[in-house]
Amino acid sequence: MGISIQQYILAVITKNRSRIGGSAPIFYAEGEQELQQIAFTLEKILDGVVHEITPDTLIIVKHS
Amino acid sequence: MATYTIPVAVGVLVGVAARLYMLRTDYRQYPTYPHGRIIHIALGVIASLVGAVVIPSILKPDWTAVTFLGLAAQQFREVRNMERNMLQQLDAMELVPRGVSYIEGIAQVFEGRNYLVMFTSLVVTFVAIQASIWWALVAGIVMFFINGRLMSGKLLGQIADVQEGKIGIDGHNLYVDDIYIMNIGLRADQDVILKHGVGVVITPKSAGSLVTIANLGQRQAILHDVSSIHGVYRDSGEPALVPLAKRNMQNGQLGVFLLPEEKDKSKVLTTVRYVPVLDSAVRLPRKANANQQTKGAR
Repeated sequence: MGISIQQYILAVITKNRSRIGGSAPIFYAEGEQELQQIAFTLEKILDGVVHEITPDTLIIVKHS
Repeated sequence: MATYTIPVAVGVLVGVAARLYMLRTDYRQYPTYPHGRIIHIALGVIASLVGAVVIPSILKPDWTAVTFLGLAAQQFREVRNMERNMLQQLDAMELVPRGVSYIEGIAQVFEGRNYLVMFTSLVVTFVAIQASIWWALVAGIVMFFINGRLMSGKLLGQIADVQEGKIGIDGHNLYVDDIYIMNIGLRADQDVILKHGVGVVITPKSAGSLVTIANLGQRQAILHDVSSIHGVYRDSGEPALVPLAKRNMQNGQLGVFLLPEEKDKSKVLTTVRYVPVLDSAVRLPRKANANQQTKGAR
């Protein structure tokens, strides 16, 4: 848990289907509450930190 | 050699006493383990024995003995390795690790203390041979004060101003005063941080201390000390709840975000002021030639 970290994106959670694509697992949510709920669950399972990119999109990043 | 028995015995006794004096268990909780203490006391006995027989072997004179004593002293370099290896292994199991620089500092101190023990026994034996046992005891007491002085380093509060900072979350960004710490996406984590977080702002007092508090090892030492004294509100599997220290690159201020278990801000500030300044983080830019133009080029 140093301050410099090797990071990679474990998952993307979004409310906006049209703007997300790529190789990381993508989870779609209907509304703010579901977005937060999925992110919370995934954070506990994946042991990664949830970061907000835009209000519509959260990512889970592993900080080793 | 019989004439030296009592001076050597006095030297060894004072040396061991000096080691015990320097083996106080403090808030770092180290060494608390009974076996860890025994290792250090045993090494202290050997170190004081080595120190005590130096003067008699020179006076005799027995140069072979002197050479062997030099070799014996070399063995104490291993103490540093021993401490470093052990602390590094344990560090992986800490919620907030000590960091490499802090461990190196502790290991260095343990090595240094054995040399101080040797020096104490050497001085005490010398006085016991040349004067009397009573003067030797006086010398021992003087050496205790010298050791205490040599072993005390600087504290963070002496090189920097430590003030409380306000924790704020702007959308998804966490700030301590105006220093950016990290991006928190989860509302649940944001709530926990607003409830349990404590912010500290450290302002350097000089150009040298600016570099010192920027050192990553020094920052980790601050985080570790606060977490080990006041507890830490985090667990494995909660990666977002992590104490962090970030720098304001404009003016060198350090914003420290902490998650103490007991949220007593004045106590936390006191703890931060008492964090030791790590040897490896100290820089003296003012001593560089480039910064001493009044003395002319060299």
